[in-house]
Amino acid sequence: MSEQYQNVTVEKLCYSYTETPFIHDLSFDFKAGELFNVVGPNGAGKTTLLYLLGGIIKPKSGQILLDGVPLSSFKRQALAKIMTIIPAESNIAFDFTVYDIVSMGRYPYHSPLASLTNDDHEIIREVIEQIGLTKYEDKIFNQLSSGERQRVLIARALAQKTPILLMDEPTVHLDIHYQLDIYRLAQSLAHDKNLSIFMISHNLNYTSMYSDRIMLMREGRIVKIGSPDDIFQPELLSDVYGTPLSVYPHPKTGKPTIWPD
Amino acid sequence: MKNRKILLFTVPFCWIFIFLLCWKFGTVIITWAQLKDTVFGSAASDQTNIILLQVRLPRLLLAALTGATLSLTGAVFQALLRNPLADPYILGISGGSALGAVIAMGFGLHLLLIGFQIVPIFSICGALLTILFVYNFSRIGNYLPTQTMLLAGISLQAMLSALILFLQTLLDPLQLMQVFTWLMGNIPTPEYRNLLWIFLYVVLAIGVILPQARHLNALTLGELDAQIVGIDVERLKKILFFACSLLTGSIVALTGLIGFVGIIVPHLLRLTIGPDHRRLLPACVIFGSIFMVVADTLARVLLSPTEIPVGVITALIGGPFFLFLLWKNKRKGMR
Repeated sequence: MSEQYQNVTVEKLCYSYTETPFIHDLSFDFKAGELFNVVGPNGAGKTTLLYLLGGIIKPKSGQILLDGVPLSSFKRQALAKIMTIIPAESNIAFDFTVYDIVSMGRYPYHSPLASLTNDDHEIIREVIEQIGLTKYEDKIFNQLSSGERQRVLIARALAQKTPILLMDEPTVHLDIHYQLDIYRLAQSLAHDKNLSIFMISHNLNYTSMYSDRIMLMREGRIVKIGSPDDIFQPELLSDVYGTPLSVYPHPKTGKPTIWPD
Repeated sequence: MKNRKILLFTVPFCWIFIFLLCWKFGTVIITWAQLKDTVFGSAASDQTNIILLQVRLPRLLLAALTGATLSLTGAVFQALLRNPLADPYILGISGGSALGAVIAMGFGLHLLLIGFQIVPIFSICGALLTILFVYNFSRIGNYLPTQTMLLAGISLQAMLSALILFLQTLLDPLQLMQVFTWLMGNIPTPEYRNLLWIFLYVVLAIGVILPQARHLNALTLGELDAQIVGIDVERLKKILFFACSLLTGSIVALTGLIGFVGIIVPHLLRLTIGPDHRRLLPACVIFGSIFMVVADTLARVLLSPTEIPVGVITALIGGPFFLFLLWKNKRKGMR
């Protein structure tokens, strides 16, 4: 894993799909060892921001720096060793197995003609086991449930062994057991393995429990960046989400939990 | 590992054996002894030599190149467009190159001194323009709706066919007859000089396509996923569009419209060896070439001495196979 390029700085980032700007002048940063969550109502521009960070789409103005180096100066293959995206979902037209798909995470490390090494296969098996997919290894990706498919995409991203991880609502199809697994995994990757994790989430309660810092967005702008206690204020949330919400401390951890009124 | 060794030995052996069989068969059946004499250049009659070397061999070689090309481009388009039903024929790309070729022929450009190379260049350009049109017409941002793309391809194919028909009305009867037989999909007996050109185009394009196999694997999950694992998708698409136009265009210029090979061969191979393009693409070249050699031999001998256009044979095998795939997909959808 490359030790460089772990800290991401965003400066005055703007983007628009049409004439009207969609992402307005965003400036923020997230660092190695941090689980950085983004929350906000639908259409706030969270996924667009993630694509900008991942270099999938190009900003209209402003820039993204990885340890001070502009994102735009990296070639695609080099970038894939620095950061990866876990997309919300993926479909495939042909019958690739789970193992095939996870092994695609090792592509950036080889020229197109080279085959995978024993080290690669070891890494692939390791992440497959870590995500609890061992018994699905030889199953056809397309025949899995959406929750299982999502875990395969997480495994593929982990196989890339990048210092930066961008997650687009990675728990959306998962049951409560795996949702918690993913949040705990994200937290431990950040705290124990020193990864920088940018995670879009709709589950405010889990975000509150596991996140280090939260960015609240609305209509392409930053409303507030802060700790769970700073962000999860009943008036602020009710206003941003446009529905009355209450906040109570978690009976065990004391972290804010969010409830409908 | 052991299986792989057996395959490495048996596949070339079978390929050569079938090729030799097809070389023997025709209106005149050649014996193994005569075949041996011609190949080793000893004591064969002139007539046998002419039949084998001047009439059948160039045609068989062209059939092999055609089959390899159509199967390979089929497999590449299916990965590129993430659709198992894509092939150059259905997407209107063959139609585009046919129109290019008809324009070149209609204006008598092939009679110019530079001669032969002009028609393939027109049909290669026709193919490239059609690919770019269908692709850019259908895509919305990063997303490529297959429905729109197939419908765009099919309507474009209909428009191109109409244009070809229209151009035909402008041709004189002799030209018309030539264009008509060519459009039906035939493997002609090419001159060796022309065959060499096609061979160079095809080898060049195959050389460009085969190293992209692993990238194609990643691309079957979509452009976003391919980018995530480090593939420069825009560059990959440009390379593949260009290589496939080169392949389709150069073959269509000689053989006209031969349908369905690009669907049948990659599908049969996926069913047997799986979807990994590192195996699938070479297999398309090997199996596709021999498939076409056999289909063309059938076209020559079934109603001998009359010939059936090989496009008719492939369509008669491919049409039902295509329907079968649709039916299977439909049942998958209902479950």
